[in-house]
Amino acid sequence: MAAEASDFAFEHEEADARFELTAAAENRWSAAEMNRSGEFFISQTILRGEFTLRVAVGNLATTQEDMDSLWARIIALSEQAPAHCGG
Amino acid sequence: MGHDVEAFRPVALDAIEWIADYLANSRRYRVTADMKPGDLIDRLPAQGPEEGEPLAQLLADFQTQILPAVGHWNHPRFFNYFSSTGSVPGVLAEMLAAALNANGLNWVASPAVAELEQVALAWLRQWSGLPDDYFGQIFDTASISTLHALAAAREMADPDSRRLGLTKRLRVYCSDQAHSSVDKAAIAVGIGLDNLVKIPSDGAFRLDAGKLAGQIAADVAGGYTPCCIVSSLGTTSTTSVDPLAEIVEIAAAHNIWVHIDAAYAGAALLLPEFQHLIQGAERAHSYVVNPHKWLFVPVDCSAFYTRFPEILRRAFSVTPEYLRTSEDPRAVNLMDYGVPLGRRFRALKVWFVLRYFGRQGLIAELRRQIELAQSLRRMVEADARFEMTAPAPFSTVCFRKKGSAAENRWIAAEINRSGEFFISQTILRGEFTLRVAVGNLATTQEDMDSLWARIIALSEQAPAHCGG
Repeated sequence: MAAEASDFAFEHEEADARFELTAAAENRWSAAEMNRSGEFFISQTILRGEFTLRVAVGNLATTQEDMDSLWARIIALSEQAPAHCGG
Repeated sequence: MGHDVEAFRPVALDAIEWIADYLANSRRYRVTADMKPGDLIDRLPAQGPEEGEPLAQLLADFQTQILPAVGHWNHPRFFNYFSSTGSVPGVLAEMLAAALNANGLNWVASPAVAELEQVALAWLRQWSGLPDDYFGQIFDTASISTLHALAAAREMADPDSRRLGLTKRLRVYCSDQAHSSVDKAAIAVGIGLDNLVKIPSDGAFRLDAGKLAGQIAADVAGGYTPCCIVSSLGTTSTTSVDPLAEIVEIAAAHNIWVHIDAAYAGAALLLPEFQHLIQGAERAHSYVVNPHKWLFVPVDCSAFYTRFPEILRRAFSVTPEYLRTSEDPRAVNLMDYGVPLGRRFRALKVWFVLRYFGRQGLIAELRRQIELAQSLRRMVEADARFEMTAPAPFSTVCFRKKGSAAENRWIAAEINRSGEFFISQTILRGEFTLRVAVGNLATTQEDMDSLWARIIALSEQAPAHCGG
């Protein structure tokens, strides 16, 4: 994760090709599932018409492990997403 | 680097000890700070530290450097402005709210902020005898609450104004005793000071309803659109109460928004003997009371109510995608009903204070404080050298020594210079007036008697000091 600012949108993430041009429904489902679990709380926005996940870091107690777990959860959800979203 | 929560524990316990000692013994301090402007700025480093400092040092420096520059609003002899108390349940709630650091910008961001605000303000609404259709939310100060009243009034009178700016020549009305926040609100919503008409007050400092009706008729004939009437329930100088029932009658004929400014005296509505003052509220549009004034909630906390939340929502809702949430009608997003997006968890301290005292406890305490103020009124009235300058219906007393403005001014200045008491002064019908506001949980009859003795002693010296 090469983010320089503490806010970044996944649309700008280039390390994993699966996260570009993903259907809005899948991303929306991933965000909803993520927040429904109560384990993480992330936000969403629309950038140039594309539904986007958005993660803002700002807590003194956040660790690298939190970021890695978040990413692992996003990956896991993204692999389930098509089945839930008619993909 | 993070922050060291374990190091916090012992220092925080020390701080709680200090707080309890302070609240129990605030009399040991001067009421007012004994300093010149700029003293604190000059005493502190001009630049912040490069490296972090220990919590214990911060607590120590708070006591040695900051405290001498504090005006002690929690002192039982603080009689200036509207005296108030940050009570122990309120202090406790503020500590917990700071720990949670919840920002209730919408329901999902922290549901407790949105829901407890509705619960606590519903209790307060019921205890105040306001109609059930008053929807409440919390702002920081009454100035901001009144700003929202004028914004909603503008939306009702000139619905295109949200998009285009004002399209009509709107006018706002209040008495010449109304708070300066009405002036600021008229500036902020673009109505302008020239369109804020100050209606003369009567002999008891109440808005003259006949003159209001005449002014509105003349304005309508002149092509203006009457937009809002601010009806004061407890004005700042004298705590006078405008004739709300007559005002709502006048307003109804022209579909004018009526905002009730009860920032201080709204607390007294908990007492059945003051309920008649709110007659007409069922036809008014909005209402503000500040629990941080006379309901023992720590500053800041202003409760704003409106019967027309949808008009307020129409005036302000601009939800962008990143704040869009579910459409569940019970998930109220208070950001849609006003200017602020961020929202402190102020409801927690309101809830704590209301539960700690209970309605009967608040009634008893308010009656006790009203009686303290009335004891001062009786002492003034019993002394031929003094006169009351306004009626004192609540816990605020306006009076003067029969003599020159210079003598009274000297008395006020000497009382406050001593640091023993802190009283205020105002000008009423051109006369310089002393003003004493009671509002502290720890104020006793002895404080009132000592204050009066001090005023008498100074009044006897005053002529010599003032060329009398």
